[in-house]
Amino acid sequence: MLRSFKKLVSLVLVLALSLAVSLPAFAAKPTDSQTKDSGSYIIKDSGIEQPIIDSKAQSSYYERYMAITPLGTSDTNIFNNVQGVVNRMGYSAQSFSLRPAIDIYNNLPYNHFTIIHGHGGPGSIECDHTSAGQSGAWSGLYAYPVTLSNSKDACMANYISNALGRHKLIVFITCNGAQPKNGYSMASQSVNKGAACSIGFYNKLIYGGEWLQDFVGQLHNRYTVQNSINKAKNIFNNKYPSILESSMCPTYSGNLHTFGKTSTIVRVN
Amino acid sequence: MKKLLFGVMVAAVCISATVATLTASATAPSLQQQAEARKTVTMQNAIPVTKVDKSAVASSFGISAQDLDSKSKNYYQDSHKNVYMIDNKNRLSTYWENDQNNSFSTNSITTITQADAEKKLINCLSGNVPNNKDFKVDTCYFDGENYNLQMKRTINTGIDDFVSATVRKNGDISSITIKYCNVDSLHPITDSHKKQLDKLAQQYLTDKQASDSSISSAEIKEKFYNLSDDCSKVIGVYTFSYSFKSDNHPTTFSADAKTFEIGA
Repeated sequence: MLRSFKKLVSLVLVLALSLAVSLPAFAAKPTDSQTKDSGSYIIKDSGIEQPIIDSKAQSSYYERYMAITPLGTSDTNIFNNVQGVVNRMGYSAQSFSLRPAIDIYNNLPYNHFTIIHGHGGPGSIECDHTSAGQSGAWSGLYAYPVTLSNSKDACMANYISNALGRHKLIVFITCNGAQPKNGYSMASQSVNKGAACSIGFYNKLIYGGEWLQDFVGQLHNRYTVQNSINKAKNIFNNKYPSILESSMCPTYSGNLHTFGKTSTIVRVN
Repeated sequence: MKKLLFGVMVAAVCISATVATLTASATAPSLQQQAEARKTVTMQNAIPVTKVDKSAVASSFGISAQDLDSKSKNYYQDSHKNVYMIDNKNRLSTYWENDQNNSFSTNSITTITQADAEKKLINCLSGNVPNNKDFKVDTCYFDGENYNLQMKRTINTGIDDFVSATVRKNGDISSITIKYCNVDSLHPITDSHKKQLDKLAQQYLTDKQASDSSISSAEIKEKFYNLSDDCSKVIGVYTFSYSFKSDNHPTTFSADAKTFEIGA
């Protein structure tokens, strides 16, 4: 009898201890607004990948530079320069390289500023290329509704309304990021799904990284997206006059397209 | 005797003409000197300008001096701090409006048509750009705020002077960039030059395909020829388009650009 009582007491104690440990965890579970603003929680069951918390991060504004193809030496330098400038613009700037399309899809809703750099076509981008070439398998992130062929693919049309509502800006440094397929381009769908503003290129693209560097430099100067585009055009044209005539040049008339609110100021500090 | 006199007179005329020419060439300022001595720039009207330092220009536009190109140019500003870059041949190569204090952006009102924007740009080239009347509008894209104009003055296939400009919807010219091909009757680009450059470009493609087995096909998409500023080199700018096979998706595409040079 006494032994049973002891067992019962032990059980109660264990239960009490478990509850004591669990309750604060439940209490700390974030509301939706907390999740949006703090970026301090990882929601595993939603399938959405939150930013990994860096205790040294100085900002609750998140920028991701998503290199979807391995970057060469020149573009790696550009990446480093751009991320340095974005950090100084008040963002926690992080790399998100060579990830499958589904990871990009899951991460995008948590960012305030995203740069996607690599191969693309009308209405889609090609993610997680494992070599600088374009052979082999890769996963596609599609702007338009499509039946997905494998578990790594993803489709922006599946986002709920305003899923990208945190974004001040999404920039596609890819070929054809502004060219629609089945009615949707990557840049236009980004704004459809809540981003304040997006930039894409209608034609194929050369010197995209070089243009990006000039553009982000002007965002840092606290100009609006539209003014930064104008100023970046001046600087870029002055530096690379030999390619101005190419339809693939970032500043070629009608190549760069904006969507959404171009009066947005992206700098946050 | 008459023949001798005639011969002497002809010789005298020739010598005089030669001396006059030599004297003129000795005293006439070179194009570079003219570029450096500019007091005005003609943008529809003669605008008084002052020569300024490159770093001052960079500073006033919030950029690094490295963001301005490495070619030696002469930088001028007018009283509104608009910048004019004059090249070594005394031609306008770049114009940047100082828009620090204007009310540009969504508040500006559409007051001009595309035709107005084109006319305004052509007028502004007058006096600063040789053969400005030969420029024809190539493309014009209105992005909601600006007319993005491009004009060409074609010399031959793939050889042209090219203007890229931004004109605001209120009619202000925001920027002009001019690429000169530097070709004239004394400095032509011949078919032989083109063939040599095309061969280099084709070899580049062949080598690229050999080094990357994932490329299923490659082609030269665009090509442009220029002379260097000192006319000593012929420069070919090529853009390339590639298609690739993929294991799990349809064929995909990409592009790049490359510049080749040969002696003129």
